[in-house]
Order: sequence, then C-alpha cells, then structure tokens
Amino acid sequence: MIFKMAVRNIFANKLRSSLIVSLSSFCAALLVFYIGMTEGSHRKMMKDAIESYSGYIRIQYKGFSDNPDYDHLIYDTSEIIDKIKDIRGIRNYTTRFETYALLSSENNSFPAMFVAVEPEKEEYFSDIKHSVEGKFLNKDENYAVLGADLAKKLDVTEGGKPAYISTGLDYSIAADFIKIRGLFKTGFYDFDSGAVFVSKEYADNIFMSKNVSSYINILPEDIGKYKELQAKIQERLRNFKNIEVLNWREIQKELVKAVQIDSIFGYITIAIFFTVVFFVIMLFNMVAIMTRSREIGVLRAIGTSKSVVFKTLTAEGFIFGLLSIIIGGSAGAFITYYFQENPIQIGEYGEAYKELGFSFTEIPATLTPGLFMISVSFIFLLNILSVIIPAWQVNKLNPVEAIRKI
Amino acid sequence: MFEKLAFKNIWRRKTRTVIIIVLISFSLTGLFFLQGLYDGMIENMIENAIKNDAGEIVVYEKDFRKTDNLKNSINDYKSKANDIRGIKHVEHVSSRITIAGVAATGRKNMGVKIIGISADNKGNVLFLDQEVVDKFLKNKRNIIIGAGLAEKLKVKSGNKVVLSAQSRKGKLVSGAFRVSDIVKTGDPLVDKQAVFADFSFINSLFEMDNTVTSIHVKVKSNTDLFLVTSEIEARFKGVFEVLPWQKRYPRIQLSKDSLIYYNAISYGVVFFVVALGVLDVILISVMERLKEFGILISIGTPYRKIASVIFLESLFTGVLGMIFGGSLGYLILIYFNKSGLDLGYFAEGMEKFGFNSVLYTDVRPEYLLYAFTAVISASLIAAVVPVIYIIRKKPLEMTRG
Repeated sequence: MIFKMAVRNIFANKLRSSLIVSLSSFCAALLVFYIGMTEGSHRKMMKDAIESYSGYIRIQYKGFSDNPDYDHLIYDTSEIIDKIKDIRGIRNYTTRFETYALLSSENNSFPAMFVAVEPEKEEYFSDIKHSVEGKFLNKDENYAVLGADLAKKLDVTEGGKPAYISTGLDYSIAADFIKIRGLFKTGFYDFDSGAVFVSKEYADNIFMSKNVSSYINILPEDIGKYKELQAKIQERLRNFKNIEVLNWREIQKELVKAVQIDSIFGYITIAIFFTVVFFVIMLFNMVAIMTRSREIGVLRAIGTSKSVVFKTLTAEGFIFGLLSIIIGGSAGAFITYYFQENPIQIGEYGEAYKELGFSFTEIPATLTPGLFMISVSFIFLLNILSVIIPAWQVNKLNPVEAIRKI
Repeated sequence: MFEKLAFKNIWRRKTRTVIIIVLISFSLTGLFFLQGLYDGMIENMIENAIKNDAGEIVVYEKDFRKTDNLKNSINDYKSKANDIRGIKHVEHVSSRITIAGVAATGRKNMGVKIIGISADNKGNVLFLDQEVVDKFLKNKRNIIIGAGLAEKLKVKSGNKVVLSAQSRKGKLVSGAFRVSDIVKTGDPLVDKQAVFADFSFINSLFEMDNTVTSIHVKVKSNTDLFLVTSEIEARFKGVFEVLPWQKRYPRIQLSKDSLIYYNAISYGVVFFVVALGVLDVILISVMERLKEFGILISIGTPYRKIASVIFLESLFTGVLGMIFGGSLGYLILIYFNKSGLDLGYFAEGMEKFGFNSVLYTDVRPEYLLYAFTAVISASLIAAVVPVIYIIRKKPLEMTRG
C-alpha cells in the first residue's frame, strides 16, 4: 500500500516529479560518463606506461629505484632466474642493463640512456620493437636502434655509425661504435629524444656486465593477478636478502601519484556539482512535501502512524532514484560505451604533454559493471537522502497544526 | 514599500529560503575555490617558466632548436642583445649557453643540460635567491643543479661533478665542477636536467668563440609581450626564431585555454541549477499567496507592481546567497593565497604535471563579477515563470484561492 500511495503522490504533481527525475537522471548519466572517462583515461595512461617499457613486475637490487647506480645492480642474475623461472603464472621474463652514454656523430654529441636488452624477448616487454622503422637488434653484434628525435639531433640515419663513451662496471672507459639498424618513435619524449637500445650480449662484452643486470622484468600470464605473482616471486627469493620484487604501482610511483591527484581534483569538482544538485532536489522534495502538509495532517489525524508517513515519502525518493538509474544510468552507459569504442582524440593537447613523460593522443572511456554500480548507487542514495529531511520535518508537525497549514 | 514587502515575503518560509541561500552560497564558495585554485596553478607555472627562462621571450638562431647543434649558435650576440635592449618596453636582456652533456659522479652518469649563465646579470637569475647567487659567484667552477638531478646523481652541495660534452669545434671536452647549491625551480624538466654553470667558463671550456645559444628578453609588462615579440621578429627576420612563453610552453598555454572553457561550463551548470532551485521556491511561494495577489489586483494594484515584487523576492534571495557565498569564497581564496594548500603527499604526482606541491590560489576581483552576473541572472530568469503564472490567472479565480 505504501508503494501504491507513493506512486500516486508522484503522479499527483507531474511537473515537479518530472523535474526531479530529469535532474537526477542527468546527474546519473553525467556521473557514469565522468567516472568512465576519468578511469578510462587513467587506465590508458598507466597501461601505456607499463606496457611501453616499465613492466608489471620487476626484480631489482634493494634501493635501485632511488639509486640506479652500479652499486645497486643485480650481480647474480642467472641464479635469480633459475630460482623463479618455473613459477606458475610467469608468462615471460627478461633482463635489462641501463646506463648513460655520450653519443657522438660527426656533427654533434648527445647524452642518451643506453639500454641493453635481450632482443628476442624485448617485444613482450616494450613497444620499442614495434616502433622501429628498419630492423631490430641482433643478438650479439654492435647494432643499435635509436630514438628518431635523437638521431635527428645527432644528424645520423639508418646505417650510420655514431660512437659512444660511457663507464664500464669496473669504472673503466667503455667506448665503441654502434651501427644503426633502425630508428624508433614511441611517442614518449624520454625515449624518442634520449634513448639507444643495444643487445645485452653485445653490451656485456663492452661494459663487463655478464650475468649483471639493472633489473629483471616479469610478464604475468594474467596481468590482473600481478599481486599474487609478486608474492610468489618474493617467497621464492626470500633468501636473497638484497633483492626486492616490485609491482607496477611501486615501479611507477610518480605516475600513480599523478593519477591520484588528477582524480582528487576531478572528484572535488564533481562533488561540488552534486552537492548543489542534491540541495535542489531536496528543495523540490521539501516544497512538494510541505505543500501536502494538510493532507499529511489528515492522514495522521485518522490514525496513520509517523512511520507509515515517513515510509511513504521515502518510497517516493526510492522511485525517483530507481527511475533516474534506469533513464540516466542507461544513457550514461550508452555514451560511455560509445567513447570506449571511439576514444576522444586530443591531438595537440597530448602532444604538448609529451615532454613531461605522458604519451596519449586519445582518451578512451571505460565501462565496467563495478564502476557503473558505484555511480548509480550514489545517485540512488542522493534521491533517498533528499526526501529524508523534508519527511522528518513534516512528521514533526502535530496533526492539528498540519491540517491548519496552507 | 514594494522592496520591504518583497524582503519580508522571502522570510515567510524560512527553511526554504535558508536552503536556497545555502545552495547559492555553497555553489559560489565551491566555484570560487576551484577557479582560484586552478588559476593559481596555471599562473604559478607561467611565473616559474618566465623566471627559469630569464624572461617572457627566448630568441634562438633559426635552426638551433631543431638540431641542438652548437654550430647554430648566435654570433656577435652582444650587439644583437644591445639591439633588442633598445626596443621600447624591454626591461632587460641576457644571454645563455645551453649544451647537452653528461654529468658524472664517481658512481653515476646522467644526461644533463649544461646552462651557462652570467649570475652577475640579475635578469639571468630571476629564479635564484641572492644567497645562492653569491655562493655561486665565488668560484668559476661552481655549479647549481636541479633538485631532481641531484637526487638521481646522489650529490649534495660541495660534491664534485664532472661535466662532459662536445665543444662547438667538435672536440669531446670534460671539466670538473663543484656543486655550490641545489635548487627547485618548479619546472620538472629544469629540475631533472639542468646544471647551471658560469657563463664565461662554459664559453671557453666548450670553445663557444663568444657565441651564445639563446638570448632572453624580459618585458616591462605582460601587455607589451606581443609588441616586443613582433618587433624582435621584424628586426631579425629569417635569422632568429622568437618564442614567447606561450609558444615555448604550449602545454601551459593549452591548460590556460582549457580553463576558460572549464570555468564557463562550471558557471553555466551552476547558473542552471541555481535557477531551477530559485524557480521552484518562488513559484510555490507565489502559488501559496495566490489569494493575496488576487486581492491586490482586485483593488487596483497594477500587474507591473506585482511582477516587480516577485522579481525583487527572487533578486533578494540571489543577492543574499551571493553575499554569503561571495564573502566566504573570497575569504577562503585569500586564506589559501597567503598560506597555500600543501599537497606534499602528492608532491611526486604534482611535479609530474609540472605543478608545485604547495598551491596558492589566485584572487581576482573579476570572480565576484562573474559570480554576481551568474547568480543575479539566474534569479531574475527564475522569476519569469512565476510572473507569467500570475499574469495568466484571472483576479477572481485568484481571490477564490
């Protein structure tokens, strides 16, 4: 009966009801879309950073992230690999050795990050191989692939032979010529304008880095279960006291914090908007309920309990909430799905942020049942809350007082 | 008399009026805070960029930025700098040498940008405290390095660093330097890459032959920026690439532009929602007093006067909300403008976007104007429907209630 009364009350004032439903449907659609866009852009940003180079799980010497120097390298790489390679859940693993070198061509010199990789495995851990124009690395020769912007500055092209000078692991001078096999363009400023990749086998001879690596990258079978895999690896390496196993959130600390702060600013903005909307919906409900004071007074006078009045009014909020979820939620889901399939192209905006280490040219939305439920539950709650105060207020009046009200 | 009547009317239903005033106040406070915060962040980035660049305009030899090759540096820079100095509205001019090189400590090598600055030229070191400059000037082998770079290299003040790069003549040259200070400029790229060294020493070490890689121009006022840029472009057509900060830092300019749309949308949304709220309250209030209005019209009160009472009621509600919200919002802005909002926990993330971890809000009188326009327009527009409602009713019908 309560539900029936609530439905009748809603239809008794069609204009007010449709305004409330429109407003909260609009909010539901906006919230579903906003959360979808925010999460989508953040996920893309993180995924790009992880899959383009840094990886999901990394084994490294303790403190390497803060002190990436020769004192913090893994000097027993093969022993560690032997320990972990049969762990279930590891799809692949690779070792890298990173240092800095000064590259010189006939016309110019530039510092660059010098990365030694296992060529046959690198494609599982970075975009470098797929971004190369020309050929990728060979296992043992002094071939190199260079960032396209770096090559431009050095004034070298494919087939060119720049020299480099750096420091070997024994702190002697490590220098040689490299033959450029290809140039890559990843979209990441740090790489395109400042990185050179060579094969690890070749670098091991020059830098005396056999069995030495900066870190070991692990690719999980199921990327969603990276934490479980990280724990398994940690357990297997518990006797290696100076070794730590990090997951992508720990590797990309800076980016994780950047995403958090971006979310915080976004949610503050949306919270202000929703508080304003909440007040308006509450006002609508208040006005609608208070204008029915006389009617409610009569109900009370003939014996209807306060709780039935309260439940009836709350049921109205429930119905409004439900309608908003159905109308607004589906509209929001539809729009979000559209932008998930057709990401927003941001062109020059993304281009401008490349130098800060972000690489995005499009922002996709993401629609997941979890995010959808969070958004619509919030709107539903907002509708219920917005009738509670007016319902409580009208219940405070004694029946005689209420009947006398206009 | 009508003003008094309208003002008294809005207090007939105190709860509703209070809610609508709270609604307007809250939305304005929120809008002020966000607008001031975002504007402050952008202004801070612009200020940092100008300080770090020793001016609003940087002038390069045409091909230098494409190649980063020292052979494309500016010859006879002193006379060119003097020429620019002579342009009206130029406050000061300085020159820099920027070379891509490697910084090495006993344990680590890093790619860096070696920047030769004349610290005795005030305009060149706007981003440095006098104390830092004095220390730096004590020895020509002193260097100042960015905080991010110092962190990576694990060096402190007093430590030695070897800088290597190719000289202008193509030789590989190295020199030992001592870190006199570590600075945080607010620009992540400068903090992670920059090594500031003595201009004359860099000039001779890297065989620059009295050439520089860039000339930096500070204008007297921001309004002169366009004029000065055009004048330099005209004087050195085809020779120089002249970049005001907007072109040098497109991401800042884009953020600034985006903020205009963001603010417009925010005000638009709040305007719409506030209008709906006021409309609801005023319409119901008019409906409740239909009998009173009917009597007033029957005894000869013109519709014009009735309409003005309704408009005034709506206006007073908006103005009260505006007074409370405007004052609170403005006070919050002033507070955060003085003491800053410390987001130290997110420092790494903030720096990634190029922001300082302590944010200072901007306080601009025009915020009040925008808010005033939005709220007053919303209130007046919201009163239109109730007025039409009254006009459409017949006095007799109204008197019956």
